Amino acid sequence: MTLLCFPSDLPARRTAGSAEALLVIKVEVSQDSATVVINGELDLTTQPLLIERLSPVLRTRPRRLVLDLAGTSFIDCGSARLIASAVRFVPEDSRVIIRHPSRAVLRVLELTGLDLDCEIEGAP
Amino acid sequence: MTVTTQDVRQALNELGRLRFGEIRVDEAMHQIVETTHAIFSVDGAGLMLADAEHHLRNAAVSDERVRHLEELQIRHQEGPCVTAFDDKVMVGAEDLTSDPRWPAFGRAAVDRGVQAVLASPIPYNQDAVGVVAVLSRERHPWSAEAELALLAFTDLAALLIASMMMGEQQNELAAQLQTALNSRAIIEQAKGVLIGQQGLSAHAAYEQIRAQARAERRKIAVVAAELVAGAVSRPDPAS
Repeated sequence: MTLLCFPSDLPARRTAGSAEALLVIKVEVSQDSATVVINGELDLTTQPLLIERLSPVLRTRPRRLVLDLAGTSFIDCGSARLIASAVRFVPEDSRVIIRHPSRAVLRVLELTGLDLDCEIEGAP
Repeated sequence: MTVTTQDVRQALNELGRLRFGEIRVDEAMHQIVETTHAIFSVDGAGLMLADAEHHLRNAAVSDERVRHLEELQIRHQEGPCVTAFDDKVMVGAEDLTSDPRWPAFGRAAVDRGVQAVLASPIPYNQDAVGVVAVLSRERHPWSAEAELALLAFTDLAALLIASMMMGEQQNELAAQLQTALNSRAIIEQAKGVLIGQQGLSAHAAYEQIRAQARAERRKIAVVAAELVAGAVSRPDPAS
């Protein structure tokens, strides 16, 4: 099993001693399964990072893709749509699992229709 | 009123040119608000941005009632937009006369002709910078389509704000928002201090900082900075 861990390399424009709360996306790839753990908030400014992290995962053509959103405190419409289009790249018989979304995050996933293509595990 | 997906797509396509056009930010915000108002066939739409004191100030409005919304939320320090901004979630209130979440604001709002509100936080770089809101003067259940439509308009507002903040020509509004973001960062730290020291919830911690600032008639960021400075026991770096 390979373990890839990327620190966030977002250019933080917030100043004045803000140390916390930047987005961190960890990717774990094993034989035919991949887990993406997202800690922080997904918005317009984090979409490039999200694409950068998801693309190599999709290239492994995982049979099982888990998106762990337990630490995802916010998702905007654009990021939800981005994940939805990424999900379409996994092989057809693969399972995509959204794990532990918060109520607010799940609502956005429902509204954008992503929940239809995925299994929700540990709904709030 | 029903919002159809087709209406929203069409409106977003029209507004899409805002991204590329040579249009002033305030004009672009106004167009977003006007289009939102029209699509929703509501009685008002507004785009509010936080100032340094974390008050939501109107940046663009389509109707006088949105000004009431701004004023009453600042006066009562509560309301659907405040909750949407503080908690960073979409907030729908279909009937403020009987909504227990904001009792003082709700009564005053109904008196001013604002009975239902749907508010969506505008994200920017791991923070909220404001809200997009629509309101109705009558009781109004908000449909899933309406929520999705408002999310889409919020994305557009976020895009506009991001291009403004990252743009080379910094204007007054960009400066105001940067101040708000900086003060929010220090307030987040102060909340962390109170949570650690007193075991408060994040919400209670924020309320305590805000109450102290109000009682002492000082800026919320200054009070927050003192709390943080006290916690690490070094000289006061406030203001």
